[in-house]
Amino acid sequence: MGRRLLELLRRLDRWQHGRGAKIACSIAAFVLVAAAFWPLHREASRLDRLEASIVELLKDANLAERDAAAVELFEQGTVTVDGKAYGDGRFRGADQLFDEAGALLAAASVGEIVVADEIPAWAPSFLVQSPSSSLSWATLVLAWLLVAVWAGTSLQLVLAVLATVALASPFVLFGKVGAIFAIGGMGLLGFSFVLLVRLVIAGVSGLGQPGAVAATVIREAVRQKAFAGFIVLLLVVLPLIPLWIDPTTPLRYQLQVFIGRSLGITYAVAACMTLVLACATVAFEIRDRQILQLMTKPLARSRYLLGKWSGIVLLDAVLLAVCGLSIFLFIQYLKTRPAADAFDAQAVRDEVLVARVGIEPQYDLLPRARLLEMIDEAIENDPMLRDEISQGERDEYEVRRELFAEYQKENLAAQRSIAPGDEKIYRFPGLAAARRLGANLTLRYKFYAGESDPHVQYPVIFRFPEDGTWTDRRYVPAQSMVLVIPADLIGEDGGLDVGIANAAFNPNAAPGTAAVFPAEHTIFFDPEGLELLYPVSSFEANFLRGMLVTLVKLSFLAMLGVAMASFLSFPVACLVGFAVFLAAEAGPFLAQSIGSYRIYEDDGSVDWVKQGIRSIAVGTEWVLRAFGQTRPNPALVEGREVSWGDVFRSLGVIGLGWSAAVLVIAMLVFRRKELAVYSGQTS
Amino acid sequence: MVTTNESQAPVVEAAGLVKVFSDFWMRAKARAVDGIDFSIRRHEIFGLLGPNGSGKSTTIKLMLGLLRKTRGRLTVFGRDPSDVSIKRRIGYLPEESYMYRFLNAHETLDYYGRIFGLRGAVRKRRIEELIEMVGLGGAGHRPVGEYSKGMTRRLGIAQALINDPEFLILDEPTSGLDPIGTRQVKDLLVDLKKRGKTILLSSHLLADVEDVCDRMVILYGGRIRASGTGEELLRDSSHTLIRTGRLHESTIAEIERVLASKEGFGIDGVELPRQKLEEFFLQIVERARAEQAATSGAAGGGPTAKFLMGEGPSEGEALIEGLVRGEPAKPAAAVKAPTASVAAPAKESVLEELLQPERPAPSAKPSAKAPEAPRDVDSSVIEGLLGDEGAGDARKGGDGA
Repeated sequence: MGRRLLELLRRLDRWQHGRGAKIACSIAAFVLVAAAFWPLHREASRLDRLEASIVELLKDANLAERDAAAVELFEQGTVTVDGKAYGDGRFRGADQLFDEAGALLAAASVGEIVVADEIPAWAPSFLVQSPSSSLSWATLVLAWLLVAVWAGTSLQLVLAVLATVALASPFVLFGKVGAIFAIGGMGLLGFSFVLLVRLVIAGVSGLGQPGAVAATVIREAVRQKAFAGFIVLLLVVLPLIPLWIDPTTPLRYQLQVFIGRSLGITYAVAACMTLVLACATVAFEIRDRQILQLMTKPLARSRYLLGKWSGIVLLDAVLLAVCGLSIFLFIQYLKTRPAADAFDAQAVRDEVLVARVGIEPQYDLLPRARLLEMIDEAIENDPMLRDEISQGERDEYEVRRELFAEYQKENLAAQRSIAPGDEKIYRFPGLAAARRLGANLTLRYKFYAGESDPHVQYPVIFRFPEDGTWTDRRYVPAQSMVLVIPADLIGEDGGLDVGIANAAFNPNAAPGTAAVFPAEHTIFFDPEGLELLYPVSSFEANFLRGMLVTLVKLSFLAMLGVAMASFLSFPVACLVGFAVFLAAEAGPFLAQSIGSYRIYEDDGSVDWVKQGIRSIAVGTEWVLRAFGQTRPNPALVEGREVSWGDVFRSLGVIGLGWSAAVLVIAMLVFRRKELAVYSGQTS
Repeated sequence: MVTTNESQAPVVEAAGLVKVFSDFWMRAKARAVDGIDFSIRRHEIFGLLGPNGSGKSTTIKLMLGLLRKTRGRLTVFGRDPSDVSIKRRIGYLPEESYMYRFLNAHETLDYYGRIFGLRGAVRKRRIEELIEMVGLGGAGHRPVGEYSKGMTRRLGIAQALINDPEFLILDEPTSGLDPIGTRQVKDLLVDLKKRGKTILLSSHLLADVEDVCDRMVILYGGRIRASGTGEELLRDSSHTLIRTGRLHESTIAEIERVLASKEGFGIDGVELPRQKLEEFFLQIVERARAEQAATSGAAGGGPTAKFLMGEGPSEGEALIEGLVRGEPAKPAAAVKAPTASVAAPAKESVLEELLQPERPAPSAKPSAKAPEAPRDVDSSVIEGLLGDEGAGDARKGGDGA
């Protein structure tokens, strides 16, 4: 039986490589995709029309004017289109949906939520989000199937599907949808990875000597248990992440948790694999002496190192492509889940699945003349300082420079503090583009007050002098909070003024008494504690740029590992590689720590050991600063833009500059290295 | 393209060559090669003899640019050994075959073929011929990590020949091979020499060197202790050996009398000649193969690859062949050089003869299936004789017999 089955599989394997078989399988794939996606596309079109009708009906709805649609929505929580009522009543009595004038604030979000309830149970919501999305999915699936067919892996695909179904079937019986999704994801990721690896090996093998070396590195990585373990770990863990997300939390947090964890795990595992593989593939080749055989062929040592490096980078690219695509697709699915409320849906759109840039307010710097005046006064009024300068104990230029910086710092700190009952106006310039786009802005603030107890909330009022509107909020000290600001508050000159009053609104104030009362503590914040964010690009493009930056960082790690292993043994090369990686990743934290590292003894003398340590730390931080500062994953979680400038900067500095420098060092050593060792007896 | 001047120049020239190994502190640790002078001429098989630790492998690694000389002069094809371009003309088999365990034989040879920049059709043809030649036809798609030492060695030989090298360096080529493989290597060397290849053979197995080498040097302690042709080094001028049919005791006594009267001395000794163990062994194997006994591991090996014999389509023809996908071109008649100085085997190839009953036709694909042993034959003894040390796969009819 087993023998017959094996023979059958062998025959099918041979058959699938024929042109006729490929054409037949392609037709089958096309029919399959059409059969699966046509009903979905029809359903998506129906829902799209329904949503457009609801939004059209609600866009001018006004509760104060007793508009029928607004009244129905407020009183019954439904919307009637063509004589049929839609909605489950969740909007009944939701007065926060309407502004003071009774106008509906978020007609589009209400439309989305109502239509989401109309999606039939048989249709996955992310596939019927819009007619164009269902067509995009169909095209993507068809393209993937055709690649599998023409790469000669139709049989493997069918077997992978059967194995996945077999593994998932017990969970179907128990209705564990999450587990079914996870197993399906593992199957999909695994097969996609194998398929891409095959294509890459076929493509790269023909690219001369470095291509041949690169193809062998990829084969080594996927066939050696130690390295394949990293890949398997990633392909298994990634589909399990959705199971760890609490579905009861607001959708915004679900998305942020998923993006943060999935990208974080992908980067961590890929970085570890890259370093271990890069060190091993060269160090083991030298240790096990395959290099003796290889280097007697007409292969220059520089080409050998380049081949090793490009093989690892290509493997990283495949891994990131597969993982990135699966993360991206799951985000597309996740965002079609119902939001907790209209504000949650808005937060998803404006704060997570978006690419924003942030600007800080414009602070007034003290004029130079005034500063010099203040410095003269300070020296004049401090006899001790005067004496020290006159006796040569302190250099006057240095003293003046220190005072200059100190006064400017104090001036800025004063502008970032608001006394109880006071209001300060902060101006954010350069928002003309954001005004044109018309998308909402996000004011992110992190205030400190009193003892900054995170269990206490303090009041604050935000005022917009442009139109005189204001809003009161309560903030938790030392925690980042956000305020969504409509783009129409930006002035014609492209600037936005935001007034922050350290006070609370008194809702019970009697006529003739103060409507606000001062807060208890002074508000103060760090330079980065007040920031205005506005969208500049789509999440999709941002995600792609983020993955490219990650690939650039991994490519440097690959070069580092290859270079270290060319003249160090595997454990030592790994140790150096991981030390550099961790130091580089912790760069920003290291910079902070260096600032508060004391090198003086109690008597004021310098501790030279500590000075030495500090010097090493400063040098390390300076050299590796760019690596630590380039962090695409937190930016994607916070919906911040990873610009093309960031991509090219990281490519130029980390990908080319650093990698080239490391390669040159490695080449200098490796070219002179004697690859054979003495194996006889010492004299 | 070899120019006239170049064709007269030696392939390797060493003068006052010294290699001193140093420790981390740059203190001299060992003087592995100590002022040696030699040259390897074109189209000869040159033997490098010596016990373990005599400096043979170090000398070879200096030639290959894997080590840097301490002093002296060393050129290969007239250039410094570190020059990458000369390596296109060299094939090297190290003293141990250092293979990638995760690749199979096809992938290994394909990898090295690509490193040499061989075109697709040529590379594919050479891989097929080499795998058939070294008897790995049935194991070509198994990972090298599963190979026995002998099978790995055979693959090592194949990789050294993938570029059809002008100069072949073989360091202990028969190490790890069974007598069949050993004999095949010797036959291969003779075949390659006929095609005008230059070969450096390093070994401490003196019989290997004696059988095939034109000239040789004997190293000890990093210095050359003797050098010359086999004839020069091994001729025993003080004795005469007459080979004839078996003689009667009275005839021997008669001869002794004649010798005493004519030459003034008698016969030193009379003995019946013994058959060589190698020949005896090969007869046993021949008988076993005739009985179609099964074995595991590598097969006995096939004929020398056509491209090594200058047969088969040229690289240009192969390219056209690949383009038009027509019938394979008929091999050109091999031009065989006279072999006066080499002790060639009596038959074209003993191994070929052994394999005759099941050898595939030249254009046919190698059969992956080995013949199965008859059930009533106890083949364990034969298998023991034929098997590689520690052969990992004992499947019948699987990976070659």
